[in-house]
Amino acid sequence: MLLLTMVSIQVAWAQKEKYHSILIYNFSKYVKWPDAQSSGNFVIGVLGNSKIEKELTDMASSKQVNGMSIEIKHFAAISQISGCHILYVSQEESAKIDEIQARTKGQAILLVTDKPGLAKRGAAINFVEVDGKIKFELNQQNVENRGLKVASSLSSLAILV
Amino acid sequence: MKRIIVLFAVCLAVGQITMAQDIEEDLFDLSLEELMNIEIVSASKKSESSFKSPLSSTVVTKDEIMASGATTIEEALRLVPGMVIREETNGNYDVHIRGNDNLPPGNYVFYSENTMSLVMIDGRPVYNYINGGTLWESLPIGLGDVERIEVVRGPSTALYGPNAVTGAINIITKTAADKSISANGNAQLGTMGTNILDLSLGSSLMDDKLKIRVSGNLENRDRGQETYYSFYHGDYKTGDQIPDYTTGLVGNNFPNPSKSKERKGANAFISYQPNDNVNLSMSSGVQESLAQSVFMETNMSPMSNRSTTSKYVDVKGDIYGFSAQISHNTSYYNILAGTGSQTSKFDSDINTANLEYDLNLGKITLRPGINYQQAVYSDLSYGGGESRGYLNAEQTLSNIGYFLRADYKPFEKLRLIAAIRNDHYNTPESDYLSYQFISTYNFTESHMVRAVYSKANRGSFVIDSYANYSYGDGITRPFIQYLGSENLELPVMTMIEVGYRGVLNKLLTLDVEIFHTETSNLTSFEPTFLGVDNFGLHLIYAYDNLDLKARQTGTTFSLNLAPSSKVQLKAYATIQQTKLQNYDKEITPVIIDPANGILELPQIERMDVVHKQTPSVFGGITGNFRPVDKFNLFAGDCTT
Repeated sequence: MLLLTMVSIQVAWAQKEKYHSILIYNFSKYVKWPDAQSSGNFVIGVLGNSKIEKELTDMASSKQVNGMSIEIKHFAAISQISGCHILYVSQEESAKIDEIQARTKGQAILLVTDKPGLAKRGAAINFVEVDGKIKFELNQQNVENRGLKVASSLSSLAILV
Repeated sequence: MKRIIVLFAVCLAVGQITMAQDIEEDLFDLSLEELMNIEIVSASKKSESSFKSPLSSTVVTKDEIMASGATTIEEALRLVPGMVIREETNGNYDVHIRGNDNLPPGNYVFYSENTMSLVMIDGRPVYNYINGGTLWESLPIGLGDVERIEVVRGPSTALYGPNAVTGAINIITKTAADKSISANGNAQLGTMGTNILDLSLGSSLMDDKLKIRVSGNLENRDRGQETYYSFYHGDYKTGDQIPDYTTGLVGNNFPNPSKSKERKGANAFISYQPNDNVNLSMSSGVQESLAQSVFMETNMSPMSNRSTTSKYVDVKGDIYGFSAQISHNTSYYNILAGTGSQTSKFDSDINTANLEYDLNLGKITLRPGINYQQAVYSDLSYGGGESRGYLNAEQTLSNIGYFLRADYKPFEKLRLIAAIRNDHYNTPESDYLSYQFISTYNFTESHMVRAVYSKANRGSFVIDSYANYSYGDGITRPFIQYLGSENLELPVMTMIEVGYRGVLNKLLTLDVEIFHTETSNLTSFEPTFLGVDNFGLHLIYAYDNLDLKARQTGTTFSLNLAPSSKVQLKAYATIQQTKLQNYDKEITPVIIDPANGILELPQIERMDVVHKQTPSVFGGITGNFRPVDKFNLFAGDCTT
C-alpha cells in the first residue's frame, strides 16, 4: 500500500510538463521580443532531456504565436544553443545555469527553468510549486537585460524575485 | 521501481480521465490567471497513467470529497462505483464492496455486516477481529485528515493481506502543506443534533523535508427518536423498560437514548524525506467513540450500543528500495455496551509488521516481502475469568505471510502481473495460498482491456474461533452454550474478471468490469446440538462452516461525460446476481420453552436460491458544475 501513495507523485510529474508547456505558450503572448525576431518561426528550444519536449511538440502542431508557426528545437549541449525565442532548461541541465548564461548573454531569449533558486541566478522565469499549484517566479531584471518586455498582466501573476 | 509503482497503481475514477482529456483541450483557452489556479496534483491524477491501471479500482480525492459535501468517510465512498453503503442509524454505516453481504442469509444481524473487505489507514489495517469487519466510527481520523481514498474491487489478499476478500479500501492521510505554518478547520452544524469539527495544524521545516501535522476531530449525531423496538414486548419501548439480556434486569441499559454517534480523535503525523531514496514517517493517535445501531442484536432488542477507546502508533520507512511498516494498536471495546453489560468488554493489542523489497531485473520487476499480524483479545479484566464473558480467556490470532509480486512487460502493449502469497495462521493452524494474476493489453492509447484471475481468503475472528459463553448457571434450565471453533476453515473467494477502459471521444469515457466470483467456507452461528447433562437437556450454539457456496456474476460500469471543463457528469452502476447453492434454510425456529420443558432445534431444508440481500442494481449519478474555481455545485443520487 505504500506503493499506492507514491503513485500520485509519479503521475503528477508527468502531468506537470503539460501544464508547463501550456504556460510557456501563454508567456509568449505576454512577452515582447525585439522586432527583428517577429518574423519566421517562433522557436522554443529545450536544453537537455525533458518530457516537456513532447508536450511542446504536440502544442506546436496546432498553435501559433503572433501569426508565427512554432518550432521546437532540441539542444543536447549548451554549445548547440542558437536562434530561439524561449529556452527551456531541463532539470538535468539546471546545474549549468552559469554556463548557459554565458553562452546566451545579451541574446533576446526568455530563459525558463524549473528548479528552486534559478530565478535569482539568471533565469527570467522559474517554475515552482506552491500548495499543489504551479506558480512561476519572474526576475524582471533578467528579462530586461536581454531586451525583452513583459506585460504587467504577466508580472502581476508572478512571484517577483 | 517506477514500473512496480505503476504496477500496483490504483486507477482513478474513470470520469476523471474524461475530465483530463477535455481539460487538455480547454487549457489553451483559459486565461493565465485561471491556469494559475489549477491544482496540478489532483489534475495530474486524472492522467494516462491511471488509465493504464491493471485493477478494477477507484480513487476519491479530497477535492471530490469536498465538492460532494460528504460528511463522513463512509459517505464519501458512495462516490465509488461498486459499493453498497447502508446507513443503519444516523451517521453509522455498513460498507460493502460489490455485495456478497448477509451470508448466510437468515442468520444474526451481525452476519449482515461486511467482514470480507480490508480497510486500512495509510496501509495499516483497521480491522475488528472480534467478529470481523470495520467499526467505522472507531477510526481515529476525521474526514479532514483524508488526502484520498483508494478502493480496489475484487479478491486482493495476495496484494494487501488477509481479509481483502471482496476488496480493499486504503485511506491516505494528508501531509502538511509546504509552509512553515498552516492551519485548516472545518465546522459543520446540522439537523438531528449533528455537529462535526475537524482542525489541523501543519508545519514544514528543513526545506520541506520535515513535515509535522497534528489534527483533532469530533462528531456527534442524534438518532431522531428515543425509543427502541423490544423483542421482549413486541413494541417500541424506552430503554429503561427493556431488560439486559444477560441479567434480565431493567434499568439504565440504554444510557444514551437520543445519540446515534459520538466520536472524537486526535492524531499526529511526522514525515521526514532527507532525499529521494529515504522517506520516513510516523503517525500516532487516540480516539473514543460510541455508536448506537443495529450492529449486534440480543433477544431483547435489535438495537445495541458499542463503544471503543484506542490508541495507535504507525511507523513506516522507504529506504533504498526497502519498504518497512510496523504498527501497534491498543483498544478497549464494549460491543454490546448497556444491553449485555457483563459479557461484551474486551481489551485488545494488535501488532503488524511488513517488509518488502524492490528487485529490478530489467523487463521483470520482483517485489518479495514478509508480513506478520497478531491480534490479542482478552476479557479477563471484565469478569471474563468468572465465565461471564464471551471468551473467558486471552486469545491470540496471528498469521505470517510470505509474498512475491512480479511485473513483466514482454512488449510495449502487454503487461503481465502475478502476485502470490502464502499465509500461515495459528487459528486455524493451517496455510492459505492466495494469488492474483493480472494482464493488461493496450490496443491503442485510448483502449485497454484487462483480465484478472484471483483467489483470496478472510482471516479468523476471536468470537468465531474462541467463543466460550454460557447463558445460565449450568444447573437450572435453560442452559445454553455458545461455542467457537478453532478449526473453522477460512472463507475463500475466487474471481475471474475482465475489464475494458476506453476514451470513446474527448467528452466520453467508459470503464466496464465483468466479474464472476465463487465464495465458500462461509460460517454460521446456529443452534446445532442438543446436549444432555446431569440436569437435563441443554442447547449449544456453535460456529461452524457451511456447505454453502455463493456465486456472484455481475458487471460494473462507469460512464463519464465532460461537456466542458466546467461540467462533469458521472453515472455508475453495478448489475449483479448472486446464487446460493446448498443454502440451509430454517423452516421452523429453535424453541426454548423451559416452562413447558420444550427445547427443540430448528428444522433445516437445504435449497438453491437466488440471494436477495444484495441489490440487483445499485449505483449513482453525480454532477459537478464549477463555473469558477472557488465555486462548485454538486448534485448526486446514489442507490445502494
